[in-house]
Amino acid sequence: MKHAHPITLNEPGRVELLMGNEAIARGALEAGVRVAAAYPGNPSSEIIETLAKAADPARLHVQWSVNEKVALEVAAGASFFGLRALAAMKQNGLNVAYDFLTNLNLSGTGGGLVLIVCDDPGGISSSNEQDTRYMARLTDIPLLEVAGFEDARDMIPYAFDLSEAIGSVVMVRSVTRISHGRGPVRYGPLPEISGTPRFVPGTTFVPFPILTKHQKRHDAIKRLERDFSDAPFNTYTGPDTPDLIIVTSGIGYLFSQESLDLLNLNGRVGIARLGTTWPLPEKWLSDILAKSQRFLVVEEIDPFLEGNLNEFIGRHPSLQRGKRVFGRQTGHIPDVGGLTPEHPLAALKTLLDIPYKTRPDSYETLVESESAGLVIERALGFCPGCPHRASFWSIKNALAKDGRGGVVTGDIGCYAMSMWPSGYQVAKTLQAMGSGAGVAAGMGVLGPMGKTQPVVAVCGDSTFFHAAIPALINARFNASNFVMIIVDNSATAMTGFQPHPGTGMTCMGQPVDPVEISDICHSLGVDVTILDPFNLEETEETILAALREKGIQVLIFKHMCALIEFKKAGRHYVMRVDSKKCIGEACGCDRYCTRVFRCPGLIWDPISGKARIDEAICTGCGVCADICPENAITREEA
Amino acid sequence: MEKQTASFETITGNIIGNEGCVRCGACVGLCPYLTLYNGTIVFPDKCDLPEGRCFGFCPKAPTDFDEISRELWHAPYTGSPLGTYSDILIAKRVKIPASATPQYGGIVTALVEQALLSGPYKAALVTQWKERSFPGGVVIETPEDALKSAGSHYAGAYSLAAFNQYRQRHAVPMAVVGLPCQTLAVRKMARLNHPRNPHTGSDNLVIGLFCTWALSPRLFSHKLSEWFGAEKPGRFDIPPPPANRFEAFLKSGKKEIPLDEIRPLLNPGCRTCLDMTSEFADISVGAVEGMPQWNTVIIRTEKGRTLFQRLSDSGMIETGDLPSESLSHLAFAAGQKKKRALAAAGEEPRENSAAILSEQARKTILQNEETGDNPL
Repeated sequence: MKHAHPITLNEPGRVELLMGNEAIARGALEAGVRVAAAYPGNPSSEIIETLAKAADPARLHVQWSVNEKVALEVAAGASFFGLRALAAMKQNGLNVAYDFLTNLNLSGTGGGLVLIVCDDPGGISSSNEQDTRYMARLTDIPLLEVAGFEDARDMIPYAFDLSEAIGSVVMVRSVTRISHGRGPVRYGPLPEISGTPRFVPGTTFVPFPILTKHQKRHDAIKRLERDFSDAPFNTYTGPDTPDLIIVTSGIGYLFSQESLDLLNLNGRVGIARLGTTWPLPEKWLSDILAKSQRFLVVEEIDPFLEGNLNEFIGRHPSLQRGKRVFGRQTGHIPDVGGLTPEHPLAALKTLLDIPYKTRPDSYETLVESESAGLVIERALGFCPGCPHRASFWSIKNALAKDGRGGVVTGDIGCYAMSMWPSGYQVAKTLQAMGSGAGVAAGMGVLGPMGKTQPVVAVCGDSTFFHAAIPALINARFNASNFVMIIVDNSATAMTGFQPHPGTGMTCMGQPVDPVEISDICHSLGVDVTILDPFNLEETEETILAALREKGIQVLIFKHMCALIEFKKAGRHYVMRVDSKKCIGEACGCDRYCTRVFRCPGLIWDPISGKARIDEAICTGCGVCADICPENAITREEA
Repeated sequence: MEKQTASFETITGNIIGNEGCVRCGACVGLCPYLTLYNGTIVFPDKCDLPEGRCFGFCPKAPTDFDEISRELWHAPYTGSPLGTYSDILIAKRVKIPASATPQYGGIVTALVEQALLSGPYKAALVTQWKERSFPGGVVIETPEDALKSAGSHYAGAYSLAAFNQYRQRHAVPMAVVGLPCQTLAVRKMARLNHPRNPHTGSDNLVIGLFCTWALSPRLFSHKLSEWFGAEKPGRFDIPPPPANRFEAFLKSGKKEIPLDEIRPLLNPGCRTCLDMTSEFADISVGAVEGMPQWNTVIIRTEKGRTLFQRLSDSGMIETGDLPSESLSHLAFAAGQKKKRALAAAGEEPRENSAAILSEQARKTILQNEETGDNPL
């Protein structure tokens, strides 16, 4: 019998140390969610991964969808059949899903539909920094913000109830520090799952008539301005007439609490924590504003709450006299980036003029340099044995040999690191998922204007399914010219090896026929070549030949992610460096393998002046044997 | 020698990047950083060594002409039009094999054959084009292979790359056929003090060619395909003025191209070259004005004299005196090339002014009589 995962235990009162995303998943289970869909993206990926542990075709369907728009559509499909459903995504994902969301808001929902968006302040694992809370307001949907781990569990059932009450999707926003942090969470009971999906005859989910539906949304928001005053997630702690009130949401709540404790200010400063950030709870907030004259807003990322608070004050003449709001707009908290506890500390110090020695600006640098000695020095780059390294090695060489100054458009995935030395700084553009192909499609029509530089788009396998296909069709339709290289490592590797349509396995562990990328390309009538990027010579020659062709040349570089392959099959080769042959820093090499090729499995030994293999991390891919100019690196079948 | 800093940057940036490269190939074939592809040097990665062989070998990197001259002749470089020599004469091959397409008298090929026959040279570096997209260096080990390379290609064609590669595997004395820039590079190679120099102390024989300028192999071969399709000309020629044309010899016959169409294909780096007659060779070979069946031969060193003597003794060639008028025309043309080079070098950054000359040599060059036309 399959051992039950702790997340699935129906043991009310049990306390588990859960990651924020796991707590959100637990909350969804306690809410009786029936369908959950997402596209992987940090910091949101673990929500679906956790729910997958509880998946059961008859009770809970969990899926990795090809992109976030489809994920939200899948969840909406279930909602239209009367089921509770959720879609989870990171901030960039909401952009993809937004077209659907901005119609779903008007068309309304059936069963409770919760949209969970995890923002990544500081862009720690993202290509951008973006505050998605504005997008909830723009869409006239309510916004709840998770402020802790227990909170994450509590808020999800509330969100489902709310969605059903207002007949619309509800957005719950988390941030990296909560999604990826851990804290104790007390379980509630799991409901009995019952009920057959049914589309109620006569129901429609359409945005028409538009004005009526739009009005309906505004009315709902108006109602919530009133109802949210009773929401359990809006709390005030502190004196009745504080010198200052911190108005906060999300992780800012914990950081604010911490700074009050540190500064011993609990008697002077209050904390008003908002769980329902949009719309603002009218009465509750008016009461808060009446308590003090000065307010510090502590939030991630942009001054969303701060702006709304100013607007709120502006709309309430009775509240206006002498009120001051401080925050990111006033420079008391930095303009961009995530929060640390230091930020409210510094702001309080200034606003209350208290002697507290905050960390000097150099602190972060100091911590970095001090801790550097504790870890192995390693640049941000591809893992040992990564097939992307071999791919970009050949792309780099082919472009140099081609000699026309070819341009590579990059995309989102592990291979985005090709803009850094690990990928030989090959990629020159990077925007959204699938944009590499779209941008290349645009560059590829400039030939008649005199463009001589060839264009290469690089795209991962998961990214191809996600958003590159329309760009490729567009390129084919508009007779664009470029080489599209699909680096197919058979995984959504960057976010944690989630399966995708090409891998032949669903999130629920069900084997399915893989969708072949080459079949899709063939069906578009473009030339397709599949090869193993570990064959460096063949790869380089193929790219060079493709660069000389007209039209769209699709090259699929297929080699499994080194981490998966290593787990599955171990080392292919045992690698060695023949120290007699290795010439190290001498002319003719100049540390070609460690300084240029840069696989972390190769280490430079400054004492012997030779390269050697790091047996602990070398995956035995064998590629470095082909790049050593002195044939000093050897491979033997493992 | 000047202090070397970041060899690779100088080669790829100042020399290749500033169009100073003459496509001799001296820097290629030694490492993964400078490699040949389709008739051009490619460098996908950066080397950061301060003192590389590439820089040490490059004839366009600063070179002290006096030092090299003293080593060969125990005398400084004077700047005289034809350089140091002991004899100048004309020669031609008695019987030219039907299969070959040699230039003029076929003396270069004969010298290579003789060098491999009588030794001590175990191999020879020549340039071949046939059955390839681009001309390039080939190392041959038998006299029979020499004939296959006969005929001028008017391109340096990076042939020294093959020399570098061969010498790393075989430390044998070789006969090297090269243009003036390559002749200079071979001398630099032999004397460069570098722990990984495959040419250190090598006892090579250098057969230098006359050269007014050379063409960029890549541009030239592209043009050739444009003009003649897949057919590769056997050899090329530029008849003396006022012909003002370039001639290509194909199986289907001679084709003429106006010189104006050839000029854009020139290596810009050739503009600053001082040397028309391969002054640092052991023996130099070129055309004779008005005598298309003959070669001018300039014997410069003992090694060159010995080889030429053996060739004479073999009965393979016949010899004669260079008409004095031809000698003065040749000297005039060579002197003009030097003058033009000095003027051109003056317009370029110091890094590209490869030749380090004494004030005396500089004066001699500038005092050369200035008259007459020159085709390019």
